[in-house]
Amino acid sequence: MRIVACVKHVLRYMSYDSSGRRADRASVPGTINSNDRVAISRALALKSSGGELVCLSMGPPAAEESLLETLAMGADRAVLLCDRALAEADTLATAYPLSLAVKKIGGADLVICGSRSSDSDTGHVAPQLAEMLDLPYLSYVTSFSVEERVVRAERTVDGFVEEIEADLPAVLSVSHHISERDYPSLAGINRAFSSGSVEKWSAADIGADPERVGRKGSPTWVNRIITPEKQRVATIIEDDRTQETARRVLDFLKSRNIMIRDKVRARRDVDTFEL
Amino acid sequence: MIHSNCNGIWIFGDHRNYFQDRVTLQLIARAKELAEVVHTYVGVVLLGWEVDEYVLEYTAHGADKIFLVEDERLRDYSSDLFTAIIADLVREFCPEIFLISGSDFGREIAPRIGARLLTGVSSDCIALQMDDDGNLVQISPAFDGNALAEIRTERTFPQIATVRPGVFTERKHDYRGEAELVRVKPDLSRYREKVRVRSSRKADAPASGLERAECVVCLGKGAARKDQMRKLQDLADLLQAEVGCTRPLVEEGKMDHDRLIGQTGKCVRPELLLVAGASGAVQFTAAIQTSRCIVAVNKDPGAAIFKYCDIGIVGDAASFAGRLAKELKE
Repeated sequence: MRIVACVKHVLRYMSYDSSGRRADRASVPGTINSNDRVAISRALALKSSGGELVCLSMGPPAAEESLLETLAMGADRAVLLCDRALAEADTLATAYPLSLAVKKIGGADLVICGSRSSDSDTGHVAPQLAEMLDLPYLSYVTSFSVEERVVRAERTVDGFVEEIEADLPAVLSVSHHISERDYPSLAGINRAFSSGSVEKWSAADIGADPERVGRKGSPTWVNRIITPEKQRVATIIEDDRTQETARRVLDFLKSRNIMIRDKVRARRDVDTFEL
Repeated sequence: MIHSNCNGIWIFGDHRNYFQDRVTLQLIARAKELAEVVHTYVGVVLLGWEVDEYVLEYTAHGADKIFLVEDERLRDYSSDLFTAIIADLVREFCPEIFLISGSDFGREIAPRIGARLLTGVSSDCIALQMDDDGNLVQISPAFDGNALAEIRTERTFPQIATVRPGVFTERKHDYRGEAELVRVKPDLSRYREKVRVRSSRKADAPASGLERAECVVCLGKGAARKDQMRKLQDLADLLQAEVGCTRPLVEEGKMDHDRLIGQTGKCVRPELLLVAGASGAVQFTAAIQTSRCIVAVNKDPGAAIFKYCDIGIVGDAASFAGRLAKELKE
């Protein structure tokens, strides 16, 4: 059983480069996208009953750090698609090279992704990867098991709880509503960062069609980034621990026509009636 | 696909949670305005079984055409079938723009349809405009919601966008309205469902009404002790407010994920939001920005939340909540 977990290297916080259009990847430290961390945890749990875990990422050279961390967590192999030709890709031009990489890895019985990334948050890459690999796609999964080449999963979508299943091979994305995740052990980190190695592949290595990758292969592009002006100017008051503070806040709300009094009164009428 | 051959603004008729979920109607309303600029029609793609009710609703809300695929196999939502059928409909009728609701389902099928047609998809748009050339300007939050990205898709068609529920206002319905009903009967046996839905039921616990609440009390780390939580719950009851929280409370198991306000949780836009003891991480503030009035209480005068509120109280959240409740009762 071979599991491929897709990992996005994201910035820990946001800052723009001089163009004002792109993330300032040079000076801000990166990390594994938190939803992908959940995906890796689930992949490791599945691997514990036998199998191989390959972590795959497409990104700048700095993404190697996140992949080393996946080795520290217990991944068997880590592959980084890193090539200027792949840069400035939208989700379609990301899913395409990832699909080629999965094939070059030798295919996967199960590809596990996070549902969303903390930076762009489109949720597109996993479903588009499934489309390009022409595999079943199980989305927003909260729990799953694999038995006799069938993956069974539970998920909640739009207020519906569903049990779904598909034959392997398949692509699965873990829900972004799960918070428990693994972090590597200290020993794991030492081992990975001293002797672990990340395989680096170029666009040519995976046989990518140059027309379908990078900026050229991206049907969408960001025309500009608009940084909204700060809209709220706060009135700040020190709480003097008396009723006066509460009164001032209520006066403020009244001055803004925020109608809470009426509702409170209505509610009290109901309560009185019930009594 | 060639631009000049494309015509029409399409909307995905997302009816699974109608009547509560009104995003399809909101999209029709916005599409009508955009269609006027470029002189085209608004079409709703409706897949399902026994969906006459929605044909009526979409017509009454202004749809010019309804592309209807009615089949018993479409009674339940199937991402595989919907993706395949809709992709084929798009190939046949060549809409220029395709707007899809930002429900979980919409956000799953939109990128899949985009991948099949090799066209661009933008996600979670909060504003849509037409530029002078009749191309769709897609505005979507970027970088933890700290900025907005203006996204374009001009070389491939249709221009697909998923849209956040609640950003547009539906039109008044008019049951005298008329729409052209285009019945499409694809051979469904051509489509394969790779994922089998074994069971599908409405979740037991009613989802919290956070997203629609007029008043929300949000608990942060500084209001996570039992006695503090109780005080804020009392205030919330008095205000008839929904209670939400920030991530630490979910991680400590003190509140359900359903109550999480933030980038990976719910986005709220009440008339009044009281933020109690939350510091104001960007993942959180991004999800509260469109609230009408924000009251924040925090002990730390340097807390970031004070930059995102209308009135800030430097003090203990639970203690303040107790006094506010007392004041309200009087």
